[in-house]
Amino acid sequence: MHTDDMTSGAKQAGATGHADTGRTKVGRPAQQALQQEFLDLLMPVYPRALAYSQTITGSLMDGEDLVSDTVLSAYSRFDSLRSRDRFNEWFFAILLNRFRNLRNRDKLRPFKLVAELGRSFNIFEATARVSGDPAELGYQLTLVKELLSRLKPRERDVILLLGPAGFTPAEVSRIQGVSERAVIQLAYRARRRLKKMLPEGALPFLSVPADEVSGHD
Amino acid sequence: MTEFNTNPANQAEKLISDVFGALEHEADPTIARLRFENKLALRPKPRRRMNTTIKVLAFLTGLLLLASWAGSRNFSPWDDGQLITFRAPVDFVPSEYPHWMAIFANHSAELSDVGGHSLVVDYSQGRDGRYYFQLGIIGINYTEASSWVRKMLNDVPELNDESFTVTQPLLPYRVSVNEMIAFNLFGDTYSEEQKVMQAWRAAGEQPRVIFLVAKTKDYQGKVSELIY
Repeated sequence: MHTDDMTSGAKQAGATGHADTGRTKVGRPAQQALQQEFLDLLMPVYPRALAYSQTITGSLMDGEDLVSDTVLSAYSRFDSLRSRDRFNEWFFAILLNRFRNLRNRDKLRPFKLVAELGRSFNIFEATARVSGDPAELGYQLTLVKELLSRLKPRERDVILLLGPAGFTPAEVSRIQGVSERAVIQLAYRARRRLKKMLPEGALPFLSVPADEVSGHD
Repeated sequence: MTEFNTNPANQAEKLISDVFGALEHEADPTIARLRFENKLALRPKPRRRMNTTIKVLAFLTGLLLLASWAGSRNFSPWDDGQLITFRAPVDFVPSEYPHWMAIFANHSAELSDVGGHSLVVDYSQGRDGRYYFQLGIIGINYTEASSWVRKMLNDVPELNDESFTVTQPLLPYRVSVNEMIAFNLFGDTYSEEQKVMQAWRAAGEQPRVIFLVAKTKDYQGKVSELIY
């Protein structure tokens, strides 16, 4: 399958919003088989997709809503996916588009900062007021959302997809519809910005093992 | 340039990675699967969507087929629509249009006797510089139109001995509704486009009522000059 085939279907799905609800008479067994195939492909990537959604939305509930919305949208377009091998990329492309659309329409629950952030390192102090426990996941999620919101959308997507989501540069390039070289450039740019935002030692509960820290910055 | 070390390179990345990992760990695919099975069971089977290129090609092909079919198609004229054309007097000028409207209006009662219900009065200038009247009539056939116009030409001295043609136009009006106002011979004056349409509709139900339809630009503001 050509890259465009995958991404165009995904973009279309994202752009048109909710899945088609038109009534189509089909055989029940055929529909069940299709659903099973879809879910079989979806489940291995589901934890990653949910974590991704919750990370970029900064909310557990919004993340679940986003994934559910994406699942329904993807299922309605499942026939447009010609190569099942690229289900993960295809699904994430739809997820990213859905997030963009939701964000554009302000459908996500509004998030209000407890304090205006003057300088980047004030993020820690500002978000600390959300929760008293800096080790709590909710608190950290808020902080992550703040960090990611200060990146450009593509930089944010690339750093998440390449890093914790575990996609390769080639896969990310297909999801984003850009070249691998552009993906790497975006990742380095995002990395530089993130480093400036959160200086070393700002979060004492986090320690980056020396062997994990790459030589790139 | 395509190599990228995906390990966290700073505290921010480490935080993002840790949070992502924790969230991923908390996700339960088993429960999610059950939930989605229920949700998807209520959804119709995904429809196979047509490729955009195929859609465009299908549209163009349809357009070509339609054009080839429509190009050779003859539309039948209106059975009850007649367009009568004859020369206006040599000294006719557009400013005399209301006067001629009145003359045609005076003869329109005979049209209603044979089922006519709309008379559109128009004129145009030919290549020779002479003006031509074009009367669009709805509700009568060729014979009735022919005998009516012949009688009228005999009765109006300025038009004596003029020849005329009667055709059945595809559209009986040379002027659009925008350019017209309707004048109800029974006394009401209509000066709005909507009222023209209303008048025509009403005429369809009461064919013995004649509506005289005139060109707005020549007629509007000169109604008082009408002489019956």
